[in-house]
Amino acid sequence: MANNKRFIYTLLIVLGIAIVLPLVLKARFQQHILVLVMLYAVLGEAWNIMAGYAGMVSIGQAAFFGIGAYVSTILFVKFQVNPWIGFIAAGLVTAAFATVIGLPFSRLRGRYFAIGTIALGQMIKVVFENWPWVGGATGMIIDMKKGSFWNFQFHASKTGYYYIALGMLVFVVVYIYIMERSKMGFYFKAIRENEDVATGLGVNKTKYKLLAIAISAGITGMCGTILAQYQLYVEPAYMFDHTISVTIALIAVFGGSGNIIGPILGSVILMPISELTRAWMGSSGSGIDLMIYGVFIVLMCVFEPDGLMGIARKAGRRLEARREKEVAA
Amino acid sequence: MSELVVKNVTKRFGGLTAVNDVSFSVKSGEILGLIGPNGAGKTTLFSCLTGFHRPDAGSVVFEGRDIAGWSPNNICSIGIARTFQVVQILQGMTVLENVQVGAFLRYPGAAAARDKAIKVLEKVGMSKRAPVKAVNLTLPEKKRLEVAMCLATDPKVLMLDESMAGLTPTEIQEATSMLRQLREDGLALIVVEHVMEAIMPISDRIMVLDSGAKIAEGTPREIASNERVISAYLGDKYVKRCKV
Ligand SMILES: Nc1ncnc2c1ncn2[C@@H]1O[C@H](COP(=O)(O)OP(=O)(O)OP(=O)(O)O)[C@@H](O)[C@H]1O
Ligand SMILES: [Mg+2]
Repeated sequence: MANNKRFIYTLLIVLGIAIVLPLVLKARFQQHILVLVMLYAVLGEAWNIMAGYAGMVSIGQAAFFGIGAYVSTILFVKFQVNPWIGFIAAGLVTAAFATVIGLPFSRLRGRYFAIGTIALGQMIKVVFENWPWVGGATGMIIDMKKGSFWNFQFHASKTGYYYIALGMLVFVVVYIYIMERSKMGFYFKAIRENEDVATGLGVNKTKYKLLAIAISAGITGMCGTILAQYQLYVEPAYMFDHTISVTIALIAVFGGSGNIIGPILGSVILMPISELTRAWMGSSGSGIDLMIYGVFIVLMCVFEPDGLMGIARKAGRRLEARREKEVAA
Repeated sequence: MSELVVKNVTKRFGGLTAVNDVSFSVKSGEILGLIGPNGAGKTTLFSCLTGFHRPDAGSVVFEGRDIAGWSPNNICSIGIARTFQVVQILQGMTVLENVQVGAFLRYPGAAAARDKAIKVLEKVGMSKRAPVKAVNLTLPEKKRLEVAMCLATDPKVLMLDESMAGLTPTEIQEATSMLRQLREDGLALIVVEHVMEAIMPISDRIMVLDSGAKIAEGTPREIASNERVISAYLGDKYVKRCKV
């Protein structure tokens, strides 16, 4: 119980820091990084629900991300629907799409599931590239409106997007916190640990797998809307980029999946590194950031498969042991 | 009062008939021992009754419904649970969490499921191990945990597949007294066991499988002196020698 309280206080302090950070880091490039860190923290948490908790490792989140981006953009460009409604619609449509596509996918186990998601991401991209109504390979441009919260557009400063993503992150973290302690969270973990045991204990594994996929996809789709509004355009090559899928998975694994903090930690550390290397290397250095990621991940897999959170937990245990020894002495 | 009635269940794997036209029944407050040499089809029969295999023929009727071919989770929901011969638990979760997963079936609220899990752990004598990660348990402990997970789903029929394998004589004593207690509580138990000292004294009836077929059924005393059973276990020669 005391531990729980400490955990919540720590989260609140971090939230406080997150709220004031954009007031300190005002340069355009810094704010760009802040937006990406926040966006990928949410994306990492969404991946975490499906892969970290329910054990379905996806390397095709870009499919959901892109669909979300397109849903709100289509609604805005073709039907003049306010992007906030598009934001909600993006979540619902993506979740619905994921449920349908998840039905055959949920029968795949382990690495076959992962491979399936890679194929899915690429397939959806090709579909949108060949769909003239949504602009084919060139995509669509979102008309610039007066920058305001209501219009979901911010021009002078990018912090609006940052705070929207932060709001989402708070929402998702609270959701996962509750989920972890509820039947759904236990059932997700049981499926991850051993499907036969889970079904033997009454868990409807198809239902719970689809739930995990739908929730994860819905959140990911809403993040797509945020990026579309941030860039003011959508394009298949960008929104369905396989790099997005890989980055999401890497961030979560690096930080430590299957717990709340991991993906946030992963994003806070890896996103700035990737953006800075990309800036330093120039456009020619595309791919270098991913190589650096790769090195990080390999090191992590070799030395601490539970990610940064695993390291933190071990350090905590060692500290506690030392404290106990001191008390005893 | 409920009864599980199995009629003419058959399960084939390619050319091999692992379970051949087996019929039997078991009811509340009864322990049915299930024995037979290796490869007799005991585990396969369990899998047919709990939805992990779909029987090729036959019916499994429980409380008026034929559940043959149902999914394992639905079968568990109506009150039939099983353990696995090769122990199956949620390795990365704690003992308490393992049992909680089972408890959520009847108690959807987190607090209620937790209370139920704590009660079940007390019942099987594992309260002290509650916070331990399941992967760190000894094998007998893992088997006991598996029973606890099943019990948390409030089963009416419980099938145990060699849960006492590897136990010391005192541990077997504890385990059998627990099974007797469960019988008192009104469960129907089907117990597969190779340890005769464990299964003979507690079973009300014993059923013997050999090469997929049921070759005998009766009280432990009847089974112990049944010729077909002795020959299935020890070969025909032994029976002849006994007769001389
Ligand atoms: N999934 C399967 N596919 C093919 N054959 C199988 C399968 N499962 C079991 N068998 C075969 O069916 C027969 C019955 O096996 P089963 O495991 O049910 O026997 P058992 O009575 O439980 O034996 P033991 O006492 O060794 O546990 C064996 O010949 C086994 O090789
Ligand atoms: Mg067996």
